[in-house]
Amino acid sequence: MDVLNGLAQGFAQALQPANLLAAFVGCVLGTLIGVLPGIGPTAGIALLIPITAGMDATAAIIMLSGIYYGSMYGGSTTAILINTPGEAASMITALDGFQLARQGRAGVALGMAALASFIAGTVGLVGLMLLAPPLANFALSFGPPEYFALMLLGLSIVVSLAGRSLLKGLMCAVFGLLVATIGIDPQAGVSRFSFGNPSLMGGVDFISVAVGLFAITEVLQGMEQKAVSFIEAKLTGLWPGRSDWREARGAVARGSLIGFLIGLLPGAGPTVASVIAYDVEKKVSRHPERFGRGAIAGVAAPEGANNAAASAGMIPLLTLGIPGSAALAVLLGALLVHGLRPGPLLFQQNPDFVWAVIASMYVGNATLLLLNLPLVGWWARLTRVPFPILGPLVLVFCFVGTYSVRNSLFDAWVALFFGILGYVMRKLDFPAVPVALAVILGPLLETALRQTLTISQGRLDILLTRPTALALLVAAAGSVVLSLYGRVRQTRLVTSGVLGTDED
Amino acid sequence: MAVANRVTGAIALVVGLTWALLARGLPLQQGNAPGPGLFPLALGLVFAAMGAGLLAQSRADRSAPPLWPDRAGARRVLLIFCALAAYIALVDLVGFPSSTTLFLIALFRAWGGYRWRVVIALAAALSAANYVIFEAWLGLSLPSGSLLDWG
Repeated sequence: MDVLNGLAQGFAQALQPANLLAAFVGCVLGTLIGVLPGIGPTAGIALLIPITAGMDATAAIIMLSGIYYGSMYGGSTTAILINTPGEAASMITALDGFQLARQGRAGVALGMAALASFIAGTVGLVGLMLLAPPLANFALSFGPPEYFALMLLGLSIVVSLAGRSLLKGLMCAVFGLLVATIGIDPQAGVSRFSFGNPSLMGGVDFISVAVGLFAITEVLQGMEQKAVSFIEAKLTGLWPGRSDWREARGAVARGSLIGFLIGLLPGAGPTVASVIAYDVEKKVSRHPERFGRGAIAGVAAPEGANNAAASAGMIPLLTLGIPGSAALAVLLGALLVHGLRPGPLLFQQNPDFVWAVIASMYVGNATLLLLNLPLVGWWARLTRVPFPILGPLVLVFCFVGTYSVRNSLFDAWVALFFGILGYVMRKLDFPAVPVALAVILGPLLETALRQTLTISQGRLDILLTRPTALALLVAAAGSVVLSLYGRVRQTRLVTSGVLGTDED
Repeated sequence: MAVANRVTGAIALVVGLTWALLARGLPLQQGNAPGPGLFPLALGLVFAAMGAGLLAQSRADRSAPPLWPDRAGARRVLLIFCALAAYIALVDLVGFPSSTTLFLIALFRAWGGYRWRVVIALAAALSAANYVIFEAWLGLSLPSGSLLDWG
């Protein structure tokens, strides 16, 4: 199926009332999750998976993807208005966005953020459409060794970017893999590390892990602090003026491109993209001194970058089954729940599903622009819900979300365990994203490794004799080595505050 | 961070070795293929080695200790933890609507410090809304409570 044909069929599906409604609900919930500081896209998607379990698979994924990219829009609203990014990818937006708000230009900053998001999101989608099918075709030749190497690459990039200590990041990834070995072994059907306990035999559900590490930890962290005070920002003139445009259009273009390229890399994700785009913009700007003091380009670049990265992240997810961030890892879990195995075969076996989701993202991006520009004041008002009300409510959602996956209280206890663990980990500088990603990738990684060893009759050097696998392994090793040196390290230091909160 | 790293390093060492030891009890090979014990055995050993690495590193570590919350903050974190544990335990006994109401009342009061009247009204309204949305509308089956279940 060629691109235009596929897209036409996709739109035919995405515009059906049920799917249209799913996209709309997803965008509304995504904006809401982006706006509310206590809960990010990862936890949001994880919490809603059980609720979508009864829905048609296409509608369910359309809705969950809407939450994913919708939260990128919502996060900027609170970043600009109250200097509190609703999710990590908007952290950089707060630098200049909040300064603009203090100068009474909140409206322009919000308008620019929404427009930059829309433009970059659309650019990212075009890239997704053009790049995904050939990549899927290429990946059709992948065997277990290539998959194994690819998943290692994903994990190592996440590790090399998260947190301050490389060793701690690696430990988190290995810990996640350990957790994933609990339960019935995927190949031989033997029960492992379950001590005869039937709940443990079912394995540790990744939704419980994600909800614990991201939602419960976030509430516990929020408990520590006193409530934030809000500034009343006047919202006038949402449409950026001509001089604003002139200043920002380059930033939007560069931000989109940078975001897209970084989003393609498994592991980097929207947060890193926004940091790098901001950095680049500051370097190329004729007025670098304005950055941090309310430069409109300082809002446009990171907002463009995080949305383009969000779209681009769908490419490795759909074509290779490799999630680039914690939120995408949970989305991968959602696809598996609905019996869809992301990977090159998805494009061959379920083309209508893939194209419907892609088309729905166009619909969703347009919806978000309409939702955000006129209603931004209304969204901003939501941030005034006090955290002592919001926090307990989020915890109730955590219970419902984890319990209903398998109607099991055990899963709720697991979430509580990972909530406390995540809280302590954050204190001790252990990043949570590698844990979550490893729990999801664990079974897939192990299966690929065992199939590889079966093919090679127990010899690991098969990984070095197959060019694609070797290239992927070299890239994986490279990302780890690079993280020890130079620019990546610098970026890591900048993002450590952001990635420390682990919402990508 | 040196003390904290020493403790976590030691825990990782123990966990890793335990994992490896338990994995030894599983078949490492099945015919020509690797068995269910191989991957966890390798992971356990790697994790133990990393724990040892963290231990070794902590000797030269001069970084600032972790930022634990002050006494009041720690009490609030503990409160949430206990409330959540009680909530999960209670849900099984008295069912979702009543335990959610109790949970919300406890936290709104203890954390938010709102007046009783506000707390009770808000908690009841929010749990009713939760019940209607999740159970009645979305069709999830939430625990109805073993104490109340005489059928």
